[in-house]
Parts: sequence; C-alpha cells; structure tokens
Amino acid sequence: MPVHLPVRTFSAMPPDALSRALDVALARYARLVRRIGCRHGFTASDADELLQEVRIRLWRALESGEKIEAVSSSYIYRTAMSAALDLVRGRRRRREEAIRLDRPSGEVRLGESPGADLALDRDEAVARIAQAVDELPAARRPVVRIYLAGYNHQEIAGLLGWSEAKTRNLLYRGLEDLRNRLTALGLGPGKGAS
Amino acid sequence: MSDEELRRLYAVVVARRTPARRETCPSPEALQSVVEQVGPEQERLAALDHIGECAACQAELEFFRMALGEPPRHRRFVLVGLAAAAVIVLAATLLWRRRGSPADELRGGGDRLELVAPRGVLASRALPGFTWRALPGASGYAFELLDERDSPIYQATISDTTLILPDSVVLVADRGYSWRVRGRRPSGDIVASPFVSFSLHTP
Repeated sequence: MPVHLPVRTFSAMPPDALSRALDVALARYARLVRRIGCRHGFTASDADELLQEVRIRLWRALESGEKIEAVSSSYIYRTAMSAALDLVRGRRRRREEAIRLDRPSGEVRLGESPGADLALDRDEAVARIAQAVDELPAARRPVVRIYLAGYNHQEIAGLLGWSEAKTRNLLYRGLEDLRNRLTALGLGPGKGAS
Repeated sequence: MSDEELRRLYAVVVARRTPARRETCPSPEALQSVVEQVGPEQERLAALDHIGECAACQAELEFFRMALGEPPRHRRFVLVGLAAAAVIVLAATLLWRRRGSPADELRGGGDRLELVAPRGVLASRALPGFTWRALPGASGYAFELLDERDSPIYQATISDTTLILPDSVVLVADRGYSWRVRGRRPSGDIVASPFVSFSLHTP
C-alpha cells in the first residue's frame, strides 16, 4: 500500500539521503529481528511489515536525516513495540487471518493417509493429552502448555523473567505431573499414538 | 511418550482450540505485557496459559517478540539495574549538594547527552526536577516525557540543564515514565540521549 509522506519530509534532505539514514538507523534492529527467525506462525512477511512500519514511523517522527542518524536504539525499540501493538490491534479489528491457522500441526501431512484405527488412536491420545494438561495445577499449567507449544525453557524463562533453574524445576515437575496423569488415563510409557 | 511426540499431539490440541473469533483471547496489550514483563505475574501467567493453547495468540506474541528485537532481559538483571540506578542517583544528589553550583557540575563532556536524574524507582515526593549533563556548545534542549504507553505527556524546549515540571503535569505513583533530551549543537547536529525510565513509589 503506498504511503503518502508529508511534504516537509522531503524539504530537509533528498529522499535517497533520508532513505540511507533510515537504513543505517534500522540496520542493527533489522538484523536482530531477522536473527530471531520465523516461528509460531510469525512469517517473513510479518517481519517485513513490522520493519516497514517502524521505518515509516521514524521517517514521519524525525523528519530529517540528521535526527534519524542520531536516533537511539531505545527509541527504535519503543517505536517498534508501538508499531507492533497497532498492527496487532488493526489485524484483530479487520479480523484478518494474519496468523497461519493452517500451519503444520502434525494433523495432516502430504502423502500420509493413516488408517481408521490409527486415526482413532491418535484422536483418543489427543483428547487425553488435552484433558491431562487442563487438569494440571494452575501454577504449573502455563509453563507446560507453552513448552508443549514449542518454546524451550530458556524462552520460557525469558518470557516470565524467571531464572532458568526455577523454570527448569517447574517445567520438570509439570511434565512429570502430566506424564503421571497420562499414565492414569491409559497413555503411559510406550503407549504413544503414531 | 517422548517430549517430541507429546508436542506433536499437543499441536493438534492447539489447532482445535484456537478460537475463530478472538473474544476470549487476551488483549494485544496483555500480550505486549508478557513480552515486556510488565504487570502482575499472575496476569502474565494467565495470559501465557491461554497463549499456550491458541495459535493466533502465539503468532501475535511472536510479533511482539520480534518487535522487542532480542530476548527480554532477565528481571533479576532489571532489578539489579534499578538498584544500581538508585545508588547512582543518590550519589549524584549527594555530590550535587556538597559542591554547590549545578552549573559547575553539569558541564558536559564528550559527544553524548547524559541524563542524571530521575532514574529508577523514587519515593513519590522525591522528584525535584529533571537534570542532565550539558552538551558542549549546545544552544538548547528539547525535553520529552512519555507515559508507560509511550505517549508524550510533556514536551518543552529549554536552554538550561534542569527542568521542573509545571503543576499542570501530574505524575501518578507506581506507574512507569520515561524521558529523554535532545540537544542541538552550533553545527546544527542533533544529539539525543537514550530514554531513561523511572517510577514514583508510594511509601
């Protein structure tokens, strides 16, 4: 979508010089964003949209190459968080399918056609895992859920501001609790669904 | 059952439970709070409990993690940083009182614009003003104060290195604020300080 910038933006410095100043200011931040990579339904186009939005906001707010060159990483971070909030709000408002609900879930794979018995076993296992997780104590459940969703213990520690030792301990206890419940539900060791 | 097998089957749980409509999902602000580790831990745990079974919220959480640009700093380090900042503010205040003229002490150095106070957590009655070190040759400064949503609540242009907020600007205890100053050199170059955060604690 074309972005119409205010005329004053172009008066201070030639557009290519402004663009270069923005490239320099955003270079480190863009590297960080791309280094984190695309996971959990966040795609390369999402990263591009976020970076583009940050670029436009810096351009509009700072107006000149001199100011853009002097911008701090803290300012860029705040601009990015504000841009992310607005983008997420906008997507929800528009009810767009910004997220990939058809991401690989393990449910269907090309070339795979499980037999009826296997599918039944898997559905049963899925239902029991859902039940066992739901029944975990509230203090342990979020950590187990987010781990099963694909986050590792360092990421969970980072999200919660906990030490890795505390996170590992809670996660270990939570997973042990989950396995005990699964065993009680008939999904013990060696009973995994294929 | 291995962790990998558990995760593979749990992905089916997530796919089935992700709501088509987002009415039961945490707000975007709640997801942002999780990534920034802001707000009560119980609320962030409750949000995380939902995120763990909602693919839509996981994608949005990743949006905020991307915006953050790097894994969140550990809270322990943040607290250590706040404690260190409080010690620095205390030391700066004592030095200031002992030696008298702020103009002598706040004569700047180098190419950076350094903010002195406030920083970190302060007693709510202890906000004397905003102080920064002078930028050599600077003809004036632009002051910005933002609330915890990063919305500007006060901006001013000043030639001094200390600013007292007008009575019309009321800061609320136990909320976060940030501020920065930009100075203009005679050459026209702009030098900006980093944003510095502080909050006023109710005793």
